[in-house]
Amino acid sequence: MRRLPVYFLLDTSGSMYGEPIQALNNALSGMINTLRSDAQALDSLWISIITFDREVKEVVPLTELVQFRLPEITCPQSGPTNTGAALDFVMNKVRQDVIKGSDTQKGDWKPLLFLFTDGKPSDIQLYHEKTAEVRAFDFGAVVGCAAGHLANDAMLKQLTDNVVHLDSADSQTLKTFFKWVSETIEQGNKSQGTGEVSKLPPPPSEITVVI
Amino acid sequence: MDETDRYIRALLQQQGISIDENQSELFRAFVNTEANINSVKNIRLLQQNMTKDWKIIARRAEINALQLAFPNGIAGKPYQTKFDFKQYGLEDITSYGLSGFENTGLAYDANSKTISGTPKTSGDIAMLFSYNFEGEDENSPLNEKKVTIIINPDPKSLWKDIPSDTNDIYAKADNVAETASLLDFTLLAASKRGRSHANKGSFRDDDYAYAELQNGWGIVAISDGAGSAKFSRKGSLLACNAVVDYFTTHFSLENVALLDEAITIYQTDTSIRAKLLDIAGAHLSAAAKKAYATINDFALDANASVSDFHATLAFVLVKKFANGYAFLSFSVGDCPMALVNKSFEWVKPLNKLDVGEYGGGTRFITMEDIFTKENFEERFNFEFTTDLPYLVLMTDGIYDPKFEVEANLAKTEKWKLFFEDLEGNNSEGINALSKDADNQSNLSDWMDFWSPGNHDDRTLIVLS
Repeated sequence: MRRLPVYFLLDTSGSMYGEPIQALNNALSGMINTLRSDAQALDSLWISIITFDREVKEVVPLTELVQFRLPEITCPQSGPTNTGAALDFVMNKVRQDVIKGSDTQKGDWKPLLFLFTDGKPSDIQLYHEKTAEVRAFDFGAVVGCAAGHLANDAMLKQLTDNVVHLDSADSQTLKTFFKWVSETIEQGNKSQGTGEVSKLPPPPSEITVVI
Repeated sequence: MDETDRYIRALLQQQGISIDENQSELFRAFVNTEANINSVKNIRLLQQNMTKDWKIIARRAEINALQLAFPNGIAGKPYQTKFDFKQYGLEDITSYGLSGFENTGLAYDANSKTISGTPKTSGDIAMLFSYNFEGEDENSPLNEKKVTIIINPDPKSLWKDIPSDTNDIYAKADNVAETASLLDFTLLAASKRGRSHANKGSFRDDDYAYAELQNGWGIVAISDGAGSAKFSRKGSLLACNAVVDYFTTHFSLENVALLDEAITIYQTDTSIRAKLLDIAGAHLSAAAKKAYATINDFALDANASVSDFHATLAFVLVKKFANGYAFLSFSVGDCPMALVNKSFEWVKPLNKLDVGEYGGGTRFITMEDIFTKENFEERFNFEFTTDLPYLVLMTDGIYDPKFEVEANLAKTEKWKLFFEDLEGNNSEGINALSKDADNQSNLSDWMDFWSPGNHDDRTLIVLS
């Protein structure tokens, strides 16, 4: 069976401490519930959740939605945002996890990558290197989400052309964002021409698309 | 030295006070006072209690933070899991209860430590795990921990069947099926909208067409519109019809004479194959280009992009000759076509599929660059068989669940199983190759087969 592997890279650096991380947990839980009631997603979706602050943590390894359990995402009260290290980690995982098609093996759908951050990378050198690696990889879609006024849109633009900006990381905005994420995911298992870039569904008005 | 002595000595030492040798008598007397003996005893007891209290509190917090991850269940499907204390590191539990199963369809059996039953509805089942562990007093109140079991809805129950908009400019019937005769053959065809489309009320993207041509030739075409392209349902229809129209017009006696002659020679001299493919290739590529041009023109008129009409295309021309049957084919995309010996002694896949490393990636007739790529001629094929085999064309909605990978298309045993399945060896017991009271084939019903993750449009054409 074709799997649709989806990776979430979530910023859990110090600035997310308190209300934002609470809002993130709620929004994630809402998204998982939405996906659970989607017949197609239940059949093919695999999700991994990776958090990054000073450390990169694989909170949930790639797990099929049917067996997925969302743990509480926590964050330290302070510390750097090692986005580069997170990208390095996820690329290794993607290369390990995702099954490529061959004459004798059914390939997965192209993996999707969502990066959520409210700051800018602390490990800039590594970040530059890794964004190039992500761009060179054949993802179905890479979406960067910058939340709050401290998030650096231009930095995310290096990673992907699909960058959205949330004015704040409050509960309602995050919920809307992850609703859109689930729509994007639901669109991820369609046939398309090799080498063609997939189009994302139009985001809701609360989300600013960074051009 | 007794315990009191050791304790007081250690206490003083901690403060940096040592007992000189000449003080030892004095110290002995100090240690042996009843007050001091009792004090040390009490201190030791308090310390022990404090240690024990801390251990209990720490352990309680540890258990509280523990993820008791019972496997997720499916509504309406039998569920069973063991509450394995060892697995969760709860071997120090002395007494416990697990409650909250009322009206859930599940129950807990303490003897076998098993949660089992059939969950009634989807959602989270919230349970309460109340427990004591080693170290706690026998009478201490039970600790409580919330535990949940996630019950997913049954995916089968979630699929909706919303009719597509019949007033749409590119409206298309959700399901079609027919039996017809084509030259000497019986043609059986059905094309059914996939659950993924039915679920959203969107259109069937697959299509097919066939026709008898002049001079004993016949054509069958199949096409799968790209899920990602908004008008692909129209693209697949245009593609199939364009090639059928092309051959209807162009396979005149004059145009086809050379080809027929080459095939006649081939029956006694197969070394002519390359030459034959050259002659056939001219027809096949002209038809394929016609399909591209038709869609391109249509897109221009509709003020849309040709990529909005992305569709694969595969077609086979067939003709009966004195000594057997000739098959000419062309393919772009991932619709398998094959000749299958009726006794399953051999199978000849007619095309190589265009598939990428990942699911869904393929090539379309709407991509102009396919005509200039060096592999363009590999898209043509010619086969000649003395007996009439099955000629089968399908879209990936059938291929993915039934053959899974391309290597299986070359295996006779896989085709044997496929035909057994068609003839009734399936969970519904439907014989797709037989006809019902209205003389309609059961192929359309057979196409409702369930296969997790495979919910694309399904189209199958069998010539026999």
